[in-house]
Amino acid sequence: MFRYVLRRILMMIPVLLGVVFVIFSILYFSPGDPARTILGVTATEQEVEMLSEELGLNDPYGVQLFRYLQNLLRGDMGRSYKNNKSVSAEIMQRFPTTLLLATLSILFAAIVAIIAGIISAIRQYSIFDNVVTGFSLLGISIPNFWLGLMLIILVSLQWRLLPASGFYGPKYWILPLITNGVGYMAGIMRITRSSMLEVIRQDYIRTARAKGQREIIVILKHALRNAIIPIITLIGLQFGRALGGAVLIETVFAIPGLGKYLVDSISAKDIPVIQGGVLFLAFLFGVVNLGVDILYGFFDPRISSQYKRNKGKAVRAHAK
Amino acid sequence: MQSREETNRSRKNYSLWLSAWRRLRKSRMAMFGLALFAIICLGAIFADVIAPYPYDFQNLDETFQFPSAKHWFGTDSVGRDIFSRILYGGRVSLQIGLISVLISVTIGGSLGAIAGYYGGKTDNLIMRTLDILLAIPAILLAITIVTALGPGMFNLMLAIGVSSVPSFARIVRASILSVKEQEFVEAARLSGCNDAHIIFSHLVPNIMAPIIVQVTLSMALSILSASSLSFIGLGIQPPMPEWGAMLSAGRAYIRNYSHIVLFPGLAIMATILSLNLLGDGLRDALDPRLKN
Repeated sequence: MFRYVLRRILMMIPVLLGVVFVIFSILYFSPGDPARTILGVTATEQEVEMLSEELGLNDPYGVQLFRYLQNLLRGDMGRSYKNNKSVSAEIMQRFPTTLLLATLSILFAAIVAIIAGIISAIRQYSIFDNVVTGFSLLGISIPNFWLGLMLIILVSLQWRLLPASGFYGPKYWILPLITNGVGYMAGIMRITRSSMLEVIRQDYIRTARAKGQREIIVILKHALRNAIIPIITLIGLQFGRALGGAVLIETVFAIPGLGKYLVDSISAKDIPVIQGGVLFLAFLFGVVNLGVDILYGFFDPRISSQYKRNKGKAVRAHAK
Repeated sequence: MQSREETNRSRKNYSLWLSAWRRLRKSRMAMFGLALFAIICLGAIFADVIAPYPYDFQNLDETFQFPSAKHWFGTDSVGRDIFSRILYGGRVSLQIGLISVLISVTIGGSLGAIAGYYGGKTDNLIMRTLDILLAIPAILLAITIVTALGPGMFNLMLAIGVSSVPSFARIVRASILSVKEQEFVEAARLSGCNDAHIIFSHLVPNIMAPIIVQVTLSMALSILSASSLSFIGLGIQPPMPEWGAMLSAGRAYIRNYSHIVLFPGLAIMATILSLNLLGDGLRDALDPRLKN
């Protein structure tokens, strides 16, 4: 198991380097002169030229990329063009909010969706199943930023039940959680239902029932454990979407997280912030994916057995 | 000889697609999706005829009108008719959806087909490169590309198209892998076909089913991404009507005039719902084995 985890970590490094390369390159070749952006239209050519030299913007592409990577490894993402603040510090200050929102949304969605998906699979074609299926169809189709606006109108402005903006405590979390959660819930429900439907028809489920196992154990242990892999895969992917989707949710609810920070810098063309924000969220996504891969090893004995000593070689040779 | 072969092939295709259509027609959900999508498309195509007002016609005497017989969906902050703007906005959204999917299916499909067909080092090189793109959440990749290129319709299509290249490549690659060992591929190779001919004339027609399903579902996602990017100010610029941009502009007035944000959102939802229903129906119709 340890070797499996180590291998996954090592495999992540080239991907992350690639991500830095891709994001840096896309933004590097964007038109516009950063020095001019910083100084504004009133600055003279000479001032712009001096600042470019000072920031190393006149160096060749390779040198700049290498320097960015070097600084990145030291945790330095440069300084904002807009207010000269350290991007890393600003990100560090904001990312807990974004991570908390994403984690809570996914947790909330996953718990509700897995329970609903299981019940809906056991009682296929019942009223409950139809409601769940209908909900998941709608949930996948609702743009979450619009759902957020609708909830604000109804819950905050009409009924005055919950605050419409900010992120200062559990009361503020509810609307963003629902807004974020509905879409993820819909997806997880669908996959739980179809994955469970596939599994509960297998012979070993009949065997488990035949030997007199209690139904709840049959469902949760025998069936769910075999159906969980695609569910975990989807949850991992949705976590990535939740991190990216933060730009929308945080805009709608004025939550002072990484997403809002990113959106605010886009219009100002504040490249270091955009670059740092996107990279940071991509890294976070990478870490989440690593966690998902480790969970695979935990849930799927076929994976962990590949990495057990002695047996490993034989199994892998067989797989080939 | 040639002609008989042609007719045989077309007859087989005919019955294959026809039986898929028959299965699709049986699914009420899929037909509902198809009908809804057709209505949205017709509304967008004939916006010039249907829309009661031009999309940029401002009437400052009639700002913030609630829905009425004169303005079905009401008017916005500068007195533009929201119903008309939604019809025209449909043009923008559907175009973006269609063209960005064409971009991703062309690039992603070719890369996936090459990776799957050749395998080995080529496969590794292509798929590891795409893994890098896959490691960046799609909307963030799109934001980065639009930031670099600047806002605008074409850049938006490109950004959204590129960000869904990896998923197409993966699906096409997996499908190619599942058919490339079959006898007809061997037969084509023995009869002297070159690789390009084998891939595009023999393999690709055999994996159309998953591609069509993915195109439908991916179009829904693209339309959603486009409106999301417009919502945060990166997409279509005013006065061009776009559903996401309309939501963003209407946000300031939700306290008193919630209808301004209600209808554009419903339009996005209806479009995505129709494509999702259709895509699910197509999946069941084109591949009966997958059906539970």
